[in-house]
Amino acid sequence: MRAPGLRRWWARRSERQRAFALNVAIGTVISVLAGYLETNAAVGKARDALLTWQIAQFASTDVARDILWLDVDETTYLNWHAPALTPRDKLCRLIDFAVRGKARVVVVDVDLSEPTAPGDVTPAQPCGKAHAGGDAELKAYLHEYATACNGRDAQSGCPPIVLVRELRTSYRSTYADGAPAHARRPQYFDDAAFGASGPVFWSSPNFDVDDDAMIRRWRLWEPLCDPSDVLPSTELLAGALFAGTSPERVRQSLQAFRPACVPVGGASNAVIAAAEPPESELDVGHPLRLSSRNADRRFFYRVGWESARGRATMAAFVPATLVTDVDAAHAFDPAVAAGRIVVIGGSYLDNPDLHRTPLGLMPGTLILINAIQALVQNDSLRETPAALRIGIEGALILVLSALSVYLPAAAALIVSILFVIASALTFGFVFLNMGYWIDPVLPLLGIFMHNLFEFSVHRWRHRSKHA
Amino acid sequence: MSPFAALALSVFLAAVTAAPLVSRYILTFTGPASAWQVERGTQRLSPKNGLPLQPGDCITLDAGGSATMTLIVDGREIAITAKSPHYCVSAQGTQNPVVAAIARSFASFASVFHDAQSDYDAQSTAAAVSRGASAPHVAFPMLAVGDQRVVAGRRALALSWSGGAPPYVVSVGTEGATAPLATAHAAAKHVRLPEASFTPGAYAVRIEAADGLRGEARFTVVAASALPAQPADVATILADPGTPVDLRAAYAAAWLMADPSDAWRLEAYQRVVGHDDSALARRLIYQLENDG
Repeated sequence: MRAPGLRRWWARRSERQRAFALNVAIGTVISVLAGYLETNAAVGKARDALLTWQIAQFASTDVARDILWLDVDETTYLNWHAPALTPRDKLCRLIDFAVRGKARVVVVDVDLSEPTAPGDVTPAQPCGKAHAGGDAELKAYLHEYATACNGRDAQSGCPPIVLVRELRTSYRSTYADGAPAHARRPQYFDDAAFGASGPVFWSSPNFDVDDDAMIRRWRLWEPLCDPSDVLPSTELLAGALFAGTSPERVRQSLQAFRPACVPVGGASNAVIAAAEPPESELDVGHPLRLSSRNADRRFFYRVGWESARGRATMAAFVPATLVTDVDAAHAFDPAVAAGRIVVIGGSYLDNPDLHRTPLGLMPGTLILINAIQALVQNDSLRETPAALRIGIEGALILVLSALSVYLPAAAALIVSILFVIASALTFGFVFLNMGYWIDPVLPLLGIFMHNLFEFSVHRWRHRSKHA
Repeated sequence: MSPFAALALSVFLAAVTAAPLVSRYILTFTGPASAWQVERGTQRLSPKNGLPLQPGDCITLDAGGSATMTLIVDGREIAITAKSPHYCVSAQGTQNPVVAAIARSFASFASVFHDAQSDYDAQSTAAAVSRGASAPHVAFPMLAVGDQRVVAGRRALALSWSGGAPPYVVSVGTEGATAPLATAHAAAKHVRLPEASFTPGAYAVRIEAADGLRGEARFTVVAASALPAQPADVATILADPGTPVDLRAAYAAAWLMADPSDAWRLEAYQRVVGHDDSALARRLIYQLENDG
């Protein structure tokens, strides 16, 4: 009954309407088929390169108002006589500056696993109540702080201090699947006095490094062995503490991701099946879903780095030397730290902590600042909702189908490509700014496939006519 | 108290007790505090490193002072010097990130087309040369942008270039003069000419490579008083007798290269070339010799 009706309806359509409907049908089939190409390595590379380029266009579009960088810059490094390791008494003064300035969170992006060499110990400069000098000064300050501020928060003058913990490969354990496990690297000072409830915490400074040595994604936590534990990433812990989430809550949320550790060799042939941990939510200024799937999401870089001037495009930064190497008459007013996440770290040229990012080479501390800012602002790439994706694909199919009906084949091809590129550079940026990446690679592939299809049909008709 | 009232009260208390974030402040300054006037309405404040500033605050350097001050205003660095001795703080508008990204992407496309056009022009010139036409092909990247300046005085001018085959004959003289002021032979693509006296005026540098390719560029010699003002932190480093010579040279070059007029690359090169012990200096020399 229906087929003759459909045939009659089709016969009543004009030539153009038929061509348009046929194009829409072909476009829909191609968009479904092209979806299977997503796993293709070449397509994946093209998409990755395009997304990296698009993110780079957002460089310096944010000045990270919530963050102050106490930067161990080239001038500071020179004034500190180019030490191999960051002098601990200077570091202590920087932490104390942030605490006195009523920071909300203090992040110390400095490796504390090694004591400074005797030659690096600078003359003692008062830091808090401690006057021990050198390595002992920082140790005494942190222990005093942990005791005096236990159970107190930033509003009562005790901002949490987040230290970065260097990790090493465990000699004793592997993860359940036999992969090498991470363990804490020993510290030069005893950290038992810090306690679990703070206000001094350890965090992982690690990021996911891609095959091309570029850092694009964060690692929100690090599963550890010896003993089995989970260390929150620096950006996750700083973001959560900044939002007022308790450290206990962060710890509880991550407990589900504690790894199963087995002695080395114990999992050589048997992969121990581990159940997918349940998802949980953590308040980092917005509800952040913690699951294995989004642990390594791609984050936005918006704070740029001007390498010629050695400066970040931030609302608040202070070269560390203006805090540590001045007399009382020229003391820097700590008010700039008030209410902010204060990050202490280095950008001096000899610092090996320099990495590739979508915005170019960048000091590790600025990568951390970008990651904290992205986490606090919910500025990471997320899965595009199906309705949005289908809506955009549908609109593209309609426009491109209309173009190929109204324009000659060659002109339609050129205009279609230009239309997709122009859309990617306008609407694409609008959606990307919201965290949704609209893939222009598949529509372009679709156009080429459609063109190939039409060309083949045209040749087949031509041959049949002349046969 | 109901939970809603408690929540409303806590939000209100948080709003009224939260300190506003300081995004405008004095980063650093040189000279005595008495040389500076920091005015907030009718109130006069004492300058201090880190002093928070508000929109409407005005800062003035007393006439004749050689001190400098650097402010941070919403992520931008503002220098107050004898040349621009007065600044009033205003709230800076922020650009929409999407508009900025679109503008930047179109600019990068434009630069791709520009580079492609430059490559095409270079290839055309090379082809013309291979056909026997004489075309200038030795380029001076650091003299390619605008009117580059160098400070007057008796000095051994350093230059670098690209293109052509060694050895090269390089000469420099006043524009239009027949006799050069200084001439040198070079086996590499850089040279320091013999010492000569440079008085303010227009000059030209000419080069001839062994393969017959030639190049010519112009620059201007100016009085030392025309140099841009030094930011406070650079002034502090350069004034410190303890600063190593190499680092002093690198900072002086970086200061000149950062000038928005982009006219001090040649002078920056004079300051830093030969002082390449620091990573900063090596980077600046590379940048000047290759990118201009």
